[in-house]
Amino acid sequence: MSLQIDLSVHLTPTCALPSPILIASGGLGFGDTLAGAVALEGAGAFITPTLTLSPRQGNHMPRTVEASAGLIHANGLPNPGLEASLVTDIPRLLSLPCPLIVSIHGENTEAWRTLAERLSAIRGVIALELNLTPTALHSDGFLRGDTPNEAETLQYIAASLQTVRAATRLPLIAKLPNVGAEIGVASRAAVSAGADAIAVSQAFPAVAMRLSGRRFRLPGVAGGLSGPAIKPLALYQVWRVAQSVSVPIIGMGGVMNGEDALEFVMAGATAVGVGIANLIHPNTSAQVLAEMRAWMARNGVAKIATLTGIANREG
Amino acid sequence: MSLTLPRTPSPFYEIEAPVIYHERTVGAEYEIVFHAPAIAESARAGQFVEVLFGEGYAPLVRRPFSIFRANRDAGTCSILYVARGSFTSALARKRVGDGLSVVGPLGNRFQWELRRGRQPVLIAGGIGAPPITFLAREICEGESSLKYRPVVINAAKTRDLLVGQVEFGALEVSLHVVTEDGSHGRQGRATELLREIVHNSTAPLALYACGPMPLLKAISDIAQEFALPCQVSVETPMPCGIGVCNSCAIAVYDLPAQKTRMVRACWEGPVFEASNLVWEGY
Ligand SMILES: Cc1cc2nc3c(=O)[nH]c(=O)nc-3n(C[C@H](O)[C@H](O)[C@H](O)COP(=O)(O)O)c2cc1C
Repeated sequence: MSLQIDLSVHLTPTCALPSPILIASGGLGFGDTLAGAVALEGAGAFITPTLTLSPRQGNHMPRTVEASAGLIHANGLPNPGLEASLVTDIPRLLSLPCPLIVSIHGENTEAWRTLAERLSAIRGVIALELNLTPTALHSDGFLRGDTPNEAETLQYIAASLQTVRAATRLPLIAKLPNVGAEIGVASRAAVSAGADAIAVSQAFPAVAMRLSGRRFRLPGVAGGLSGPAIKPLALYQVWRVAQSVSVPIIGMGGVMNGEDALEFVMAGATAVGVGIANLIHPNTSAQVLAEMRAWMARNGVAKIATLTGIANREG
Repeated sequence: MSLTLPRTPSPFYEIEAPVIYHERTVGAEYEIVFHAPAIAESARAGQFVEVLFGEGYAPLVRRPFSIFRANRDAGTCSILYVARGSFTSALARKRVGDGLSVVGPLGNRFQWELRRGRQPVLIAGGIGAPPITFLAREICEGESSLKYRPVVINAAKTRDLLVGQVEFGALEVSLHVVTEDGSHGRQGRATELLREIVHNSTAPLALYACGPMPLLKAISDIAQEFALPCQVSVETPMPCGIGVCNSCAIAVYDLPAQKTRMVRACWEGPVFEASNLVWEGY
C-alpha cells in the first residue's frame, strides 16, 4: 500500500503553501531565464530577489568568491526598482506555477511604506518578506565603520515591521539580519512588531583573502557567505528562533538535498528555502521535493507538518 | 537599436555527461569531449557551458568554459582548457567514462552572418582562443564559397600561454602568431599586428575577438578608429551562467536613455558589439 504524502504547510493559518520548499530570495533571480529549463510546479513559493523603491546597479566587481563549501557574494542588491519591476518582473513571476512572495527592503520609512502599499495591491502576491539587514550593510564597504548596536538593531527591526504592518494586510515574513542582535532576541522583536513568520539564515558576514596580493579579494572587503558551509550555523538559528517565538519559521542555509531540508524541518522550520543550490543545479527544488517524498515514504511519515520542530518536542 | 546582440532562444540543460575523449593537445592544454546531445544540438560559436565535478562540495560552484567544438551527429561537445588552477588541474585527471555535470548551452553567440561580405579578422588572446577556433570553423564551414579567407591572430604573452595552436593550424585560415616576448611566432602585441592588417587590407573587414579585457579594449579602440564592426566575447567570472547570481554584470551604453546600464555577461552576452560596451575602467 502506498502512503499518501501530504507536503502542504501553512505560513499563517490562512496562507497555505503547496509544499515546504521555497526558492530563497536571489536563488533563481527574477526568473527571466528559466523558461523551458527549470520546473517549479511543486515549489511552495518563489521569493524574489530583494526589491528596493529605487533601482540599484549593485556593487563593484568582482562580487563573488568561492570559499570552502560556500560562496561569498557582495552583489549590493541589484534590482530595477519597484516601478520597473511592477511592469516587467512581477507579471512574469505571477505566471510561474507556484505562489509568489516578494522580498523588499526600504532604504527609509517612506520606502518601506510605499513598497508595502504598492505590492499589496497586486493580486497573486501571497506574502512579503522583509529583508531586515540594514541598508548600509548591503553595499560595498559592508560593515566598515560603526555597526548598529543591539538596541539600534532591534529598534530598526521593530520600526520597519510596524511601518509595513500598517500599510498592508499581507502576511509578513521577517528575514532577520546576521549582525547587530542575537537571533532569538531579534525574532522576539520582530514578532512583537507584527511579523507572521521568521526567516533565517541570511548570508553570514565573511571575508576572503588573496595571499599573493596581500589583499582582500572583494572590493568592499566583506560579503555574505552562503552554501553548505553555513548549514550548521543556520540550523542553530532555526533552533534558537524556535525556542524564542511560536510563529512559523522559514529555515535556509546550505540546503542541497532532501535530507538537508528535513533537518531544517525537524529543527523547527515550517518551510525551507533553497538559495545557492539553484544556481549550481537549476532544478534543485524539484529534486529536494522528490527526495523528501522518498524519505517520508520510507519512514512512514504521511504529513510533513508533523515533522516540524519534532526534535524540539522529544527528549 | 538593441544594446545587446540577440540570444538563441533555446533553453539550457543540466546533463550528467560521460567523458568520451580526453587528450593533451600541447603543453598543459587539453581537449575533453563529452556526450551531451541536447547541448550539441544547438551549440554555436561564442556559447559556453558551466562545468562541475567533485565530491563534498569541493568545488561548490561551476566554472564556465567556452564551447570548443560541437558535433551534432555524435551528440558530443568539447572544451579546450589549460590545466593551471586547481579546478582545471583536477579536470585534467578525469578519464574516459567519468562523468561531468554540464549546464548549457549558455549565452549568445558571434553573429558573423550579419557581416557577410566582409573579411573576418579573428583575434584570440591567450585562453580566449577556444571560442575563436569554433568561430573560425563555423565561418569556414558555413560559407560554401568564401569570398575572403578568415584572418586569425593568435596572441599571448609567451609561448606557453598560446592556446589553440594545433586547431588553428588545421583550419583554412591565414594564421598569424604573435607573442610579447617573441618565444613563438612574431614578437609584439596583437594590436600592433592588427593595425598592420587593417592598414594593408583592401577588403572591408569585420573584427571578432576574445581575450582579457585590456586586449579587447585596445581592439575596440582600433575598430572605432577605422570604423570597423567588432564583436567581442568578454571573459568575466560567471559562477552560475544562467543569469541568476549577478556576479558577471557589465556596463553597456543605453544611448536612447543617455545613460549606462548593467547587463549580465552570461545572459545578455558573452558576445557584445564592442561599441555598446563601456570600456572605461579596463
Ligand atoms: C546569489 C545570491 C543572491 C541573494 N540575494 C538575496 C536577496 O536579494 N535578498 C535576500 O534577502 N537574500 C538574498 N540571498 C540570501 C539567500 O536568500 C539565503 O538567505 C542565503 O544564501 C542562505 O541560503 P543558501 O545557502 O541556500 O543560499 C542571496 C543569496 C545568493 C547566493
